[in-house]
Amino acid sequence: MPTPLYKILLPTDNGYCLAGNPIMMGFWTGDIQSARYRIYTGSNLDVLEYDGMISSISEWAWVDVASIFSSMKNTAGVTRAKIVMVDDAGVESGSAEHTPDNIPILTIFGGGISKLLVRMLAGNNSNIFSWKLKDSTTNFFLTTRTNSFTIAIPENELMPLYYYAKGLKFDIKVDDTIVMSKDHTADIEETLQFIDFSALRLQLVGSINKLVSAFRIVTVAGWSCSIVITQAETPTDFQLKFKNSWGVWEKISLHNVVNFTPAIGEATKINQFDAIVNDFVSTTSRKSIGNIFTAESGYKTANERFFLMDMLSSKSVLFVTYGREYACNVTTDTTLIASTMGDPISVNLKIELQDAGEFFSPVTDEIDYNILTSSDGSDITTDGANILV
Amino acid sequence: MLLKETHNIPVAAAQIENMSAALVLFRNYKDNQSLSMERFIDFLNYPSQERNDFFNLFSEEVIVVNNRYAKRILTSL
Repeated sequence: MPTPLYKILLPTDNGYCLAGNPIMMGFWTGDIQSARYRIYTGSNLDVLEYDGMISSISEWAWVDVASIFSSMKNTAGVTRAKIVMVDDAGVESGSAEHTPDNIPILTIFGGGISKLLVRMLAGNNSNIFSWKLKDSTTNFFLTTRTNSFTIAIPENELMPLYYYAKGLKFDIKVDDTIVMSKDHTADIEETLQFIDFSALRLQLVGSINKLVSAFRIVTVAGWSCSIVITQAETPTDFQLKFKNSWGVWEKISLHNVVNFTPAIGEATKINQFDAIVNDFVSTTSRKSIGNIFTAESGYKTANERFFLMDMLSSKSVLFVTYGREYACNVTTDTTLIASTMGDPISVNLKIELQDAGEFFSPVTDEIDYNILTSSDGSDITTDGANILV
Repeated sequence: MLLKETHNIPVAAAQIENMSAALVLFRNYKDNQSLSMERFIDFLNYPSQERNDFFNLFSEEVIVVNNRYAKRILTSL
């Protein structure tokens, strides 16, 4: 087998990269100064995803291939891609560093991290995979609540915690009892796995007769992180559910009163013929109504407000009320990071539902469907207009 | 006032050491012998003043675990 003409440089040693961050591939073209490359995906790495050209006046060309995987930017998951270069005769090859049997493979994980964190990790000669995602001795869960070793989650915000499994091995302990063991060291493929601590908590009532609220994640190297379920202070019927930076759903409860403010659009005047006066009269077309809610986040510590920032920057946010979910955009006019000597502050949130239209139906209260079937029909007008205003 | 954080470490929700005994206590508390464990767990997982009052029937011990979090351990009196 002849030595391939080209060289390909992967973004990291093992080809791990995040879909939401630049994926810089280095292609060495030698004196030819231009070349073609192909990216294959699919379970057998045989689906042609992209066929591109590169050129460079130097011997190296650098290409950001992240846009090819942009669909994974906001969704957790993992995919693999094979990179090959193509010579003039159409023969595909890896590179001098990668034999045809060991061609360059990218492993792309969903989500992304901030430039600040990239810079900080680079300064420490590290990356997000060795620092967090693929290190079972630290907080490797795909939550943005915290990167510290203790993950505190209020009981009414508890969602399954996801992680990228390949190579990880750990036990979940309650006090000194192992209640669950996970061993992914023999996994061949990278997979996204989760642990539902809410379900585990219920299961333990049956198996060890305890209601537990704290779990320790323990590896061979020792105690890695802890999951602490904290007690919610007040009940709430309003929550925001959003996809965090890793592309995993999380929840935030809105503790205080949620107010509704209709955003009524300007009406359009139209002329309509009136048969009684035999002339045109000016009438108003139906206005558009937007649903805007204002709420307070409840008092949040500095760490919790960082988590709030992740929600504010999320592209997928749902307003959850009475078991229903509505897509919305959330903004705030409150200073999120303030010097408060460690005191928690509350944040004002403006929640604008994406569904706006000509008709209004309330969502902040249970619709009493029994009204529709009341025996005397007293709640129903001839056009039914007062059932849903 | 519910203890949420102590010395900047989170306080875990109540840990009940003996759920069977707690269910008996709950049935007496609600004056209803037919209440199921499922209903009891629902009650324990939903914040309310009634739940706080019920927790006051237990002996409570707070343990700080390796300075990472605090556990509230409830045992029947």
